[in-house]
Amino acid sequence: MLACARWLPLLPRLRGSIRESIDSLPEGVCLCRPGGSPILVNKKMNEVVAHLTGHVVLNAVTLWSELSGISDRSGAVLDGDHLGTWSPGEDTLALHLPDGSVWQFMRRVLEGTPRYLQIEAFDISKLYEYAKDLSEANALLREQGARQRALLSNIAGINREKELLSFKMRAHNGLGSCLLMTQHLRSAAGSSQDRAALVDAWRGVISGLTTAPRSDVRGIDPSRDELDMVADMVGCGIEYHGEPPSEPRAATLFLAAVREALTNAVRHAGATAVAVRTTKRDGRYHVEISDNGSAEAHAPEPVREGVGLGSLRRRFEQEGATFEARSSGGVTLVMDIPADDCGEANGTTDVEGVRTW
Amino acid sequence: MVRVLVVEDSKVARDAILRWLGNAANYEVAAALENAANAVVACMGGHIDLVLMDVCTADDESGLAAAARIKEISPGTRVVIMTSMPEHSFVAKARAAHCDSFWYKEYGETGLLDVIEATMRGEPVWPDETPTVTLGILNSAELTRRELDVIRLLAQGCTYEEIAADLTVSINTVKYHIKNLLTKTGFRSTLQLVVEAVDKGFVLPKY
Repeated sequence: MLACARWLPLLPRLRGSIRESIDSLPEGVCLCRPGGSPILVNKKMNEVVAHLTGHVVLNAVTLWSELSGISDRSGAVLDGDHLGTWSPGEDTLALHLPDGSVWQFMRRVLEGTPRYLQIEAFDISKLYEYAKDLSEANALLREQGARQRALLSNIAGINREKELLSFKMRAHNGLGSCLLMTQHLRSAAGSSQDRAALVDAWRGVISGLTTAPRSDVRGIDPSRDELDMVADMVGCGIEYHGEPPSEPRAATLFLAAVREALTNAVRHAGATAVAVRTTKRDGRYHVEISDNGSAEAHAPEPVREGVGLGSLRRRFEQEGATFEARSSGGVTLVMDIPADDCGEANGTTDVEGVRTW
Repeated sequence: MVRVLVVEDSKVARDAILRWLGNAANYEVAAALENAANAVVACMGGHIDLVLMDVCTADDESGLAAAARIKEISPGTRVVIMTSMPEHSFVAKARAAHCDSFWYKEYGETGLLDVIEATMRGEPVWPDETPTVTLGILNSAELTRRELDVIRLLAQGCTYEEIAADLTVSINTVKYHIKNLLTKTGFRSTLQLVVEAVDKGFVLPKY
């Protein structure tokens, strides 16, 4: 009793010190009874709440409803808006203040006897800015990644153009050299050997510029013509029934399948003819490829996919097409190829394909 | 008579090669193709003695992949890989595919016919080194093996996590290599680095 009596006069000063300490906190603190009536509200909490609502904390339960109701963009930070792990929830709110700072409010019940309701407010302005910067940097990276992928998909064409330019420049240089040699021999007396060398040089340049080699003969569909040509070279003709795909990606897949079928038909079945049947329906090409090879030479059900067929299947699947190898008295490749640009409907980039050579 | 299959999708380059072969006495061109995958079919008959194979061919078909298949189905057919790209991995891939010789179209000091003659004599011709290119302020010869791997994976669009998994290193190690690359080259971003490397043919992941 005497000990307590000794402390009693100090209570007001103690209360004052506690009050001063809590008011000096940079965070807002509000301790209330379960009904919401405040027991302790520090200066910072009243300041922040006043900025948002126009009044100090009068009742914590009412305050929380009021804060939750702030939904216009100038006041609220919406779900997923650069907050990451600080995303709003039932007991967490994040709000912009008019001065541009961002504050997070957290509500919890302090269990015990009696129970208390606590609301805290934290200035997360810096964290919010960092999260925003990170989100923007990630968006930029995604954009750069997309541009990178676009570059790679065009790079083969770009490099071919460069090669072409290089050879054209060599032809140009050869012509230039001949002109210079000619000019030199016109102005200075040269030996008969010099003149012979000049004539040979001109012959070489003119021959290069005017010769039309066999490879110049290309039909309307050079890719298919070339495949037909090599098929004839190995003694196995290709018969096309129906109109093959004309869209670039579909046509490339189609020819890859015909080529694989041709390879297997010649190597494993001794075939002399491959038949390709194509029909188009509902925006897709249905293709069946069979051969006249020996049935005994074909593998029994199910078809065991080697490297070639396996690789072809993966390629088809990456492009949104289907592929099946059926065996019944002979191997038939059956596939469905989208007529539109394959793969772009899925928005995917063939990273897997790029990994292999 | 040596039967030759020429695989080259650039018409000007193809014409030049056909002209050189036409001027030589003992070579007969069996066919001139643009697509390396078709070359595999052409070699199935066993009548091709020599294939002059470009790496980057029509429809993005890899000459290196085709060369490997040709050597499987027709081991007696000799294959000379031709390229104008200084892609640092092509020589190793060509060796792994058991190709017989390798010729740089623009950088090689030896002419193509000399390479062909040596190859048919059973004397493989391989470059002593890969041509170097300038990446920013850096000569590509100064890149380490690991840095080359990182550039290749970046060019494939891999994330840092994927690069780390592929190279079996930590993400911090990947970041360390990328930081070194940017410092060495003077580029401000990996996109700049990849664009330059791919544009100069130094990295061509598709092949």
